[in-house]
Amino acid sequence: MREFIEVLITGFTIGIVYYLVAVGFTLCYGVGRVLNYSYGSFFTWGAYLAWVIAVGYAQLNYFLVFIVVLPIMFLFGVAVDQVLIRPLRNRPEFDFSVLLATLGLAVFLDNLVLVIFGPRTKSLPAFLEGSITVGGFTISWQLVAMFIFALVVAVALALFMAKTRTGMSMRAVAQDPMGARIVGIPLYRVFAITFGISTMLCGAGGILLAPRFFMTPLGGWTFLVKALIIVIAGGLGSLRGTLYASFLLGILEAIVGWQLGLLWVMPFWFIVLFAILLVRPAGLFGAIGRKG
Amino acid sequence: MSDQMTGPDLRTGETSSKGGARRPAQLPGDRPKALRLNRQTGTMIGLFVVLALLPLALGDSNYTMRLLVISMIWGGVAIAWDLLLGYAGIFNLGQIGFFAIGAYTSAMMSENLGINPWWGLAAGAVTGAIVAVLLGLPSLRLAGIYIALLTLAFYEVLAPLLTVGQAIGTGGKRGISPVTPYSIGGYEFSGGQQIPWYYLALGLFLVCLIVGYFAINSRFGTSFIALHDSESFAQSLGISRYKVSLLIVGLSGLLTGMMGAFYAHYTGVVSPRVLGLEVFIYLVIMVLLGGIGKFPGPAIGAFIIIFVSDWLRSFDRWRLLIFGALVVIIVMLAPQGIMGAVDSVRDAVRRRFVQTPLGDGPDGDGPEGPAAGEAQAKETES
Repeated sequence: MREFIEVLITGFTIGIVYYLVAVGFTLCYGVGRVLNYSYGSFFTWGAYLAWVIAVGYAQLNYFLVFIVVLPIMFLFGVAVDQVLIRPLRNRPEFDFSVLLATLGLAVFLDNLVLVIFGPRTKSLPAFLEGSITVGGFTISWQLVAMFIFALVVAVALALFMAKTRTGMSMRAVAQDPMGARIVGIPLYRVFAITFGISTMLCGAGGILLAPRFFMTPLGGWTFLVKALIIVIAGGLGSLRGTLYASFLLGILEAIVGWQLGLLWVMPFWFIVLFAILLVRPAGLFGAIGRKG
Repeated sequence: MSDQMTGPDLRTGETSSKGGARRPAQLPGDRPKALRLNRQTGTMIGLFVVLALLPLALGDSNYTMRLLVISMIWGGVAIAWDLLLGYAGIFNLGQIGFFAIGAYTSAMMSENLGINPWWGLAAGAVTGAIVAVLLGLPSLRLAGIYIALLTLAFYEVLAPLLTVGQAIGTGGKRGISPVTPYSIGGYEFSGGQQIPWYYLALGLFLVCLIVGYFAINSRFGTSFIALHDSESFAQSLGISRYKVSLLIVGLSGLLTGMMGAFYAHYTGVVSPRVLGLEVFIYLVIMVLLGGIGKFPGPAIGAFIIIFVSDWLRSFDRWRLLIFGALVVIIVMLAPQGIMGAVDSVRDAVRRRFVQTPLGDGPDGDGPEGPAAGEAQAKETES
């Protein structure tokens, strides 16, 4: 029983990190109508950048990693949006072109990692060693740190979306791009900022999860698919749905990994996704996926 | 009214090259053109003749023959995939999943149950079609972009599923090896003699070409044009997007599963590696380079990519980097691929040098895009 609750706590923490990753993905679609298939590669890049800074070359303090990596990821996202996505915006088959372009970018970025860092797995050490015992439950400090970081980022994001002018324009564009344009919101700038934030969130997820999973050049694909499943299960473009789905699937992952092994996680996720879609074709809180 | 929907239809070849589903529909009174010589049939026949005669020129170059066989396998898959991407507008990213399922079905039947591999071809095709339809049942009810998400999830989950599926005989991580080759009478196919493999592959490739051609130039193709031009009008004629999509997804799965089955026995090994990213991006770039919705361009893309990839072998890790960049560049600069370029050159030449009689010009004078739907609507009203 005690073990079960510890597994639940782990699942909850993974859930909130998955939320960060998935919310970046869904934001990108909700605001900019971009389904970013290179998202997994951004994840990989975030993790490898953290590795370069904390372990490989600079060996800086762990907490500096966030301060250095996140702005780099943001700028990278803006650059990708400007160079790759923006020229495609006036195409009639925008969705399809973006899909192919980001797939190509993903393969390019992954193999760039492979060429630079080689195929061997790398790992980031835990932020913090040791564990804490509260009321009979043993929780590692690492998990606590992960939870706090992820929570801070999630709350910052929520405040940003609710309170700042940029956040409000993002919501406006998500609701009605044409209307937003009429009231003078610079659409393309909002798209670029959204893409940057999305990339940054993905990078944050990469840094937080890297100590838990090994890093390989192609490892990002798993997280792209995880983000996809969470986002579909929650309802594409719905932040609330993403939140619930992240926790549901994070806890499921912890339980399945504990009982059957990590190899079974993805099949179980897929089964749950299928079950949800059979009952609610647009996901838990989705509206966009529904036809007509 | 029903004539319009069932006749052999597309003014194939005379496209304005905006994507497959945008071809102008047939006007009442046009001659049946399904069997006319045009870009599609011309390229098909040319391809077939060259491939059928090529072994005479190559002599006993087993290596080149092997590359050609692999090209034909992927060429067939590329055509099947393009039916969905370019013609039906279904963003299916799980095509290689159907391929792997066809391969596994055939290999498992011959290795675990001892059934003659020839049956595996049919079984692989049927299983491919069944899985495709099962995947289509929930996903085709959703908006286009959801299909891409769901099928990608399917594709990514399949490799772990096959790995944990050791209990039902998938062979786990290492897959199934060796897979028995085909044999006719007393003769057994072997790697040392490529000619029998080659002509078998050519036969299957031809099946893909012909099925693809008739799918595009038949009720299927017309239905998708009608749905694209005016969805509500098409539906009022009794075309259900869901049903035609499901049918074409099944057909595409059928061809892909068949090629997968052949692949298993040809290479003698199936493993989850076939679901790797490398194979996926190869297929993407084949279709893209050949021209999406530009039948039979994707097959030509397959030949080019297989040979270029072999030529780039010494670049090792840089090869996929190059291909990834190439995908981006093609999407940005030449989204119509090679066949699109051929089309626009031909159209330009025609416009300049050939005086076309009214109503049969390269483009601009036939009804096109949404206008075709309106024209049809008017015809039926009057």
